Amino acid sequence: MTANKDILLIHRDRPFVDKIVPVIQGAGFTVHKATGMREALSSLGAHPVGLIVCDKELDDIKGIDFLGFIKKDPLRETIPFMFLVSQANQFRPAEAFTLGAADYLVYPVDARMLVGRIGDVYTAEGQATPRSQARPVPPERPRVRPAGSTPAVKTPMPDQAPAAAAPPKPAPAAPKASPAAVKPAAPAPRPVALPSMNLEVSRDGVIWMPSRIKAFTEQSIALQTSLFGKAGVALMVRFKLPEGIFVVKGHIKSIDFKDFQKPADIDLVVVENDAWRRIFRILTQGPDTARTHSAPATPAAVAAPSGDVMAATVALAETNGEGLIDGAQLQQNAAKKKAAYDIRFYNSLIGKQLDNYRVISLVGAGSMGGVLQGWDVALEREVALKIISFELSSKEEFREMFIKEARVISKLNHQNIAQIYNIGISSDILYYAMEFIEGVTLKEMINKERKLNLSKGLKILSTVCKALEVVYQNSVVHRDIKPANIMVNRAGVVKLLDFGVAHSKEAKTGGKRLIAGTPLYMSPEQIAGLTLDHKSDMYSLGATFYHAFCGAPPFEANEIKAVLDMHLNECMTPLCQKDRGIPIALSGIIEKMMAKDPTERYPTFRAVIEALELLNA
Amino acid sequence: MKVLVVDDSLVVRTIIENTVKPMGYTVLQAGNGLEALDLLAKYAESVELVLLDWNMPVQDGYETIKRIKANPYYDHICILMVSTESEDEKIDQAFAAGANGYLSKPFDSEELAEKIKTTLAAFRAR
Amino acid sequence: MNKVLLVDCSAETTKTLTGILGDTCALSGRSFGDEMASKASRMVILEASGSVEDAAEKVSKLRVGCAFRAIPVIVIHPGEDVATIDRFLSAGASDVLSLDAPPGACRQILQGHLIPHRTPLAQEMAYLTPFIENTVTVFSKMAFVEAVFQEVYFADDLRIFGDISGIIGLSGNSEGTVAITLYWDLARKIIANMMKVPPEKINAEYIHDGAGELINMISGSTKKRFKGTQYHFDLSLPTVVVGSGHQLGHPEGSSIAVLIFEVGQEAFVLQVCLKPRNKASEPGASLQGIEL
Repeated sequence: MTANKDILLIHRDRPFVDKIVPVIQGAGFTVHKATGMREALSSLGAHPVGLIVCDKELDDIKGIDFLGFIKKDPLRETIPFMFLVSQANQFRPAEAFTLGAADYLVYPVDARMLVGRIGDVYTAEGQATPRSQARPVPPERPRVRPAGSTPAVKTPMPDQAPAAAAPPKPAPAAPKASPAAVKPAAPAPRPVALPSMNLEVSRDGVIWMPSRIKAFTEQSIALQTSLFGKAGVALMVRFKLPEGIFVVKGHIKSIDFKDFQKPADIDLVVVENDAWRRIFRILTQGPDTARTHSAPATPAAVAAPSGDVMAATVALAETNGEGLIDGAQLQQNAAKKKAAYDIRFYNSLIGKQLDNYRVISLVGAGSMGGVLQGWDVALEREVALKIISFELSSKEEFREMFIKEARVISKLNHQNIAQIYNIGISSDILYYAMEFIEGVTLKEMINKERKLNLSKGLKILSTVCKALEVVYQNSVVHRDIKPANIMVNRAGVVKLLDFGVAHSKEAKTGGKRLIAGTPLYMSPEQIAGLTLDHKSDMYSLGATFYHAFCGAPPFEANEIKAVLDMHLNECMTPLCQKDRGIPIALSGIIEKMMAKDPTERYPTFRAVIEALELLNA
Repeated sequence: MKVLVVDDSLVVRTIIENTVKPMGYTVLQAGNGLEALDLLAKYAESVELVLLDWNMPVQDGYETIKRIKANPYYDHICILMVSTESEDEKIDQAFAAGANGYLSKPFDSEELAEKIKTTLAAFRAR
Repeated sequence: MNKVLLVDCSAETTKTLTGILGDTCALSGRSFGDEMASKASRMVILEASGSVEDAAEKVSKLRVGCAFRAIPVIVIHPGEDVATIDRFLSAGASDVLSLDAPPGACRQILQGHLIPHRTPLAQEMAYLTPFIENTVTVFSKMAFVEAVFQEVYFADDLRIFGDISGIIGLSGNSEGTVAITLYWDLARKIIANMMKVPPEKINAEYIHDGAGELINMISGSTKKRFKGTQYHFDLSLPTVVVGSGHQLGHPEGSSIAVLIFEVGQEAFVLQVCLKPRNKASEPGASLQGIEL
């Protein structure tokens, strides 16, 4: 890993990328570029990469969600991940580090500094034992984000507990409070010229404010910070250095405020202890060359983003951005931008209220609309809010379709189908509220375990068939069956999701305008744009479980067109050949579900269930 | 006669002084318990009342009460605690340590003056 | 009709915005002046011109004019340079929009901002009311002014837009942060009142102590009211901070209540972020991500 000098830079801002890439290349690295997750994944598939540097907001997904996604991929989770973030409110460093990020930098980012940090990550990687992706968890609740345009503080690879364990010497009698307009005493002998090192100060150890060190001596530090204080006040200063996180205590000797609009200059008398002595040495002599590693911290509970984010956004990637099969590059870019605007819109709803539903967070966004997590203030329960995307909401026929979709699903009364509670318009936003499901999607299970345990998979397959039987009975075609749309909730109940493109058989489609679905699992008739029935769902379900049982989809290629072509024309490798562990009978069932000619498939889902039951016998 | 006002906040000390001075006292100020004890060491005979905050750096109000009460030379000194701490256990704790009165923040001028009078009266009567 | 104030918008921009918002909003245009009472508008849209710093200055002033109200301040600025956007956000902008975006997207984003922030539920007012009452009491008893509670709304993040803030961390049965934020003029007046000195005499130390003491007294006196309940907390030492744009984090799954008070014509806020530890009264608390 350390030898691999390929870096994947995922960033939308062209000028920034153009400025930064030459500098990184100059340092001896090869840079691969991407603007969104789809491109990034292609790149990762094409060449091994030693480091990922990622912006917080990509074309099609949030950086943090991409981080979560990568870290769940057993082939890629060991690749170090570095974030570039803004000071704005969306980023939570703790979350990123818990997920496994190696470092983060705050804009504006200096190219040379970035290269330096990249170098640090590589060196640290070289010394860390494999799989010991230390997850530095900030020692205190990191409540404060850096304000002002100062670069972020670097966190160490292996975390070290704050070293200020030594009790402070009894402080001298605090000087009598004096008016603050006193210039800080000139630093005593041996002031050392400093690069602007960043640290944080706090009065109570809970709220930390960023500050800069201007000068220091053996006994004191001159700081600039927006934390206000007065002479005598005791403060803690936290240094985050490659060698570790150190907290130094001291008290304010004097403070100078020239202009209340700007940060203050504080002259801090430091308590001499090991932490300070070590820092002083580092400040005067440079970084420690010998790094001591503590045992890798056990990863804290991973706050993984909801599966639907992955599902929905990968769907976006898989469906060429829109679910619209169209080769034009222009349309593709427009689609990416639209998706970004949609996501911004959904984000702007967080904290607002639509009728009785308070919007909590964004779960995922697809071409048709977004799914947000909400809270029903009247019934006091969690809901999922499905909101129509802006482009569609402006067109009457899509609004109609959206409402129809809601009606269609509400007719399906089944414990394995996510229930719809309510549909409404608030502030001109069309939405419906449905059952909020917390659990794991099939896609995540596949990602985590590579392939599903046979008996578990069979149970899920059987249950989904039962659900689809009901769907069929109601003359509905789901049209988007895929691993991301099958979920197992915390109670172990299987739920079929996202009837987003579902169609009532009676509904007029108004022509072949929209071909929706997910290429990897689309049925041939769906690709060909023919009228669909439940057999199409059966094909997709077969393809889905093909993937689940052996760990790879039935047809794979680098280009969507190629995949579609294979669905139409190519024979798939039988499941039992792909994986010896799979019973021939099961392989046969899946094959029959995926017959190219719909008439050769099982007549009903009930038939599939019966065939599956025979397996157990 | 002197009153010693002990609080780490200059603002609070000034507010208290603004009430106490018109009552005819000279006001001494200290920013924490240690400073307070230093001042008492010099002026104890003329100090009648100490107005004491609880949370202060270096040495807090609770510790300071104990030290004052431990010193027989300070027997004549009345202690009125003035603090944001308002929970019953805390108040009981202060009284147990030797405080003679307790006033919680925020307070207005009249409340403070009144409290001072009643606390001193009770103290002298004991 | 929502009143939207367009500031420094060119004829073309005005036309575009009218096309996007005209059917639901009453737009009026002005050029930027130092005394902008943005408070009366539902939303303010500024077209950024000149240097980023100049525009950011204007954003700051507009934000001051909003008197802490939940009024979105949108900056029209081309391109998507992250550093520039951040500069505007720190200065007080709610969003930065480029009119190169498709009109549908612009409309949707602006409409999203126009949706009013939600108001508190009854159970939330239960813990906010003591804070409100004690703020009024503290200002009345210690500073001899009448602080009148105006309104409350919920924000997503704890951002400081003001000159001086006193902040206290809470821990215990519940955790969170309480912060009082004022602009200089009012801060000086209040502290001058407290100390009975002329406002000109107020120096940095007075301001530091004053802000710290105000938040200390407000939180301290409120703490008593929650004794024995799930909202009971302990206080840390007050942290006093100067300057705008600072962002303090907040615990997952709870919102920040912004309580606006007015002393005469001048406003200040108390931001309360309180999350009871045991009871998952907020949905976010129960969501810990997915078990894999």
